[in-house]
Amino acid sequence: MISRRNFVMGSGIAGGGLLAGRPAVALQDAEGVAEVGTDAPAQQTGSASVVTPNGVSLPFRVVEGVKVFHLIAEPVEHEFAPGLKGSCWGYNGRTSGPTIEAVEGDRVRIYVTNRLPEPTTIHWHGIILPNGMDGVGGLNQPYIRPGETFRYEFTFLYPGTYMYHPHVDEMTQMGMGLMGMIVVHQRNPRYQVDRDFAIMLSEWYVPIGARRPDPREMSDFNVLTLNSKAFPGTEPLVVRTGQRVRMRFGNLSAMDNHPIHLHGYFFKITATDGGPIAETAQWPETTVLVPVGATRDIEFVADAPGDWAMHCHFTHHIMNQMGHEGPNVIGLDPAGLDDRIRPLLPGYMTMGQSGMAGMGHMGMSMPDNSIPMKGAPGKHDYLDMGGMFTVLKVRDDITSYQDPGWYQNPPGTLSRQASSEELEADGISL
Amino acid sequence: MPIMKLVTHSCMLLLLLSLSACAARDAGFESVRDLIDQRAGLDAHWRYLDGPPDERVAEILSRPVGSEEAVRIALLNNSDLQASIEELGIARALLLDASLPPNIELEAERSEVPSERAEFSFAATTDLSRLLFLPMYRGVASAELDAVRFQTAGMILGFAHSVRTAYYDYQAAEQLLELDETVLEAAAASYDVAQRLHDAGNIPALELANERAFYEESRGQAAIAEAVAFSRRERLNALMGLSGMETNWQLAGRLADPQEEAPDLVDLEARSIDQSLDLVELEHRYRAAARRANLARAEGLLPSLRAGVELSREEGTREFGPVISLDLPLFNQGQGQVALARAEMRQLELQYRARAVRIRSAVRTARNELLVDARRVEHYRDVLLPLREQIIDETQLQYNAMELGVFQLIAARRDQVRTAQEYVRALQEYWHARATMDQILAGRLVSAEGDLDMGMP
Ligand SMILES: [Cu+2]
Repeated sequence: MISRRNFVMGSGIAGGGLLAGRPAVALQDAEGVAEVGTDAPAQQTGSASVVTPNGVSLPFRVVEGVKVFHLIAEPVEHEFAPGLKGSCWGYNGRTSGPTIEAVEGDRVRIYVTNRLPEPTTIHWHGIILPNGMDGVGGLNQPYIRPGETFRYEFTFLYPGTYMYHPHVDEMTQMGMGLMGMIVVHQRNPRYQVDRDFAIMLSEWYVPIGARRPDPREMSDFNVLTLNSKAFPGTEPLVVRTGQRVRMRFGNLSAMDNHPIHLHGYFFKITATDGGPIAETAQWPETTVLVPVGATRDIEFVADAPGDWAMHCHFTHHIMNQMGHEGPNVIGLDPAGLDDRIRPLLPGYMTMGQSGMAGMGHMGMSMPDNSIPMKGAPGKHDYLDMGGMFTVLKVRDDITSYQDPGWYQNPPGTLSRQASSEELEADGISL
Repeated sequence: MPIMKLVTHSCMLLLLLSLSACAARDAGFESVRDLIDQRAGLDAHWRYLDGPPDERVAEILSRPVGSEEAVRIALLNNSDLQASIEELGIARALLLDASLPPNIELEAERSEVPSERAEFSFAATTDLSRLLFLPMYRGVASAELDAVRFQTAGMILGFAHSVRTAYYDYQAAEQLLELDETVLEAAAASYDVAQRLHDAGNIPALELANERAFYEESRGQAAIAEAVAFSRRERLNALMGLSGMETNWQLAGRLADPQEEAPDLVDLEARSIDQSLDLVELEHRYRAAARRANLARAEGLLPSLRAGVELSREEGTREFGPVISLDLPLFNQGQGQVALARAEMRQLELQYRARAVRIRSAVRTARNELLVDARRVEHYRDVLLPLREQIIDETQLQYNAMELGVFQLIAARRDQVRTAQEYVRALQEYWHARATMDQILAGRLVSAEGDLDMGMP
């Protein structure tokens, strides 16, 4: 798997294209014609390649005008976040699978090899194609049995954001991580975007202290992911101030829609997997609800520098491995309780009685391979979040899309503790 | 004259023999003492010979009392045991009785006819056949005394075994009580948390009531455990013959870990037979019965004979001469007595065989139980208890992760204590098996009933 994306960024920025406002073009100049690679859509359209945070695009080769891809469904060892590994299923060694990138009108041939212990197929979600290529096991095609390789061939007729996933034993196979994004670029876009992100939303249940996701879970999902990563495992989205940004969300969660909320901006929802929304029909939003089995594109101009949170607004979806078995202890009077229980259980500590902030960094020992309540250190304090949480980092004058670190707030623009003089001056008594 | 001389001489001889050799005051208890010492390393005590034990008991009680100390006290101080040892005194008395020659019967008669000189007669006779058979009577009684000596030795060993097992039972009861108290503390803590959570408005009355029910049940269980420990201690007090302030003794330590492996099976059966005091006792009983049979046959063949001398004056003349009276064994030649003794002999022989079979079987059973119990104890100690510790640790981690609550954490501790109680019960059974095995190898077959409960009301 080549790490083309980093090279793209590096070369584009180094070549000064970014400063010219057309990095993708500069990139095309630097790379020339690639027989095998993922950059061809950019060459063909002048748009930026898609960035799949924590992921990659799927390489291809062109054979007599047909783009040939190869997906291998197989068990993978995956890290959701530091401290939590999972025995999952994925494509080409990863979950989510690599993003398939092509251009409107491309003829594609996609080989699918099954290295799973059970039959599978791939359904090309949202793609308009011949019925026999639709991938519903038993309905449109025979199963791809373990060890077999099937061949799909069709033309991407319409640009847009789509997904691929198995259509045999869907509950198990998607619950274990088999899914990926498809981006079909417009051949002749009316305008280009500078940053184009593809993010798959999904959810898992990994018992605390275990490592294999349990796909039978119906409601108690405890690992919520962006491209199969839970914060603090999610890469930040780095953007230069003033760039036009597109984010493409797909949702293949088992049971949940996700209201994805972006701080610092309003944006417009420009497309679904059903196609583009007429500009006159787009309305401004700060949260996009991404239903299960659908995609949403949003666009905005990143004109406000800062570290802006982006997350699902379901509060339970920004927690890591929250348990529910014990009683709610908020408000419990803890006086003398530790002294009473420690003779029986020396490791005991009363906790949670004042709320659950900071539970992730109390330094208590935890079950192996688990990240209960875990967040990450932030610039000002502990970042008490997990799951579907990431940071949009907008910066002036950056020359690289590497993580630029924390935002330095200009003087006078940072909330702080009020002084008593200030309180008094404003007539607030405590 | 010659008969008179004979009789007198025989009397003197037998008297000397019987008084000097046969019925020593200790009734052979010294040999019992040696046996008990060799077989079990214990000091046998007979209050009749050794005097009252008071100071020694007080001295042992002044320090924590272990199982062997309890046995020592009980051997000194238990009056039921002492009463049973008096069987020796009784057997010795019977031997003494059998060893003494018959007394001499004197008969005097005087008749007076008026105008004539008074007539008189004076006779001295003794039971000559009894005198003749005296060595045989003594033989029977001395065989019975031998039997009683081995019976007494076995009985003392059996008694020591009951004290030892009663001690293990009490030790176990104290440990179980301690663990039940830990469960009670855990339940109290759980109930406390539930009450606080209910006060905070976090759990419904139902959950609080459930926690309370568990707490109250634990209280009941601890009370039962306390009563059991009390009665087990009382049982020991009775076995040790203690009362008043003496009962305030202190328990020394906990049930120990198992000792070395059980002895080899082949060796074991032979040893248990060799060592058996029960079998030796039966041998002596058999010998006594055989001697009774011989005596009965001899008595049946000889006429019952009384002999002596008579001095009389009749019609003015004095007469002096021997007298003899005898039963002619025409009809009863002692056939009934002989048959009785022979039936007893057959019975004893069969009892001997049966006892030997039981001993072999018992020693195999004891060894098997010892092995099984030792393995069970090891399994608890090396596998289950560490596993319970691990479960507590893992539950603690899950609690830290807020996946499990404090109730589950406390429950894990409670489950660990319950396992510890099973471990104590396994240890208790192991020490029972160990005591039984030692007992059989010391020469005493421990029966399911009988002397196990000796000394108990
Ligand atoms: Cu959500």
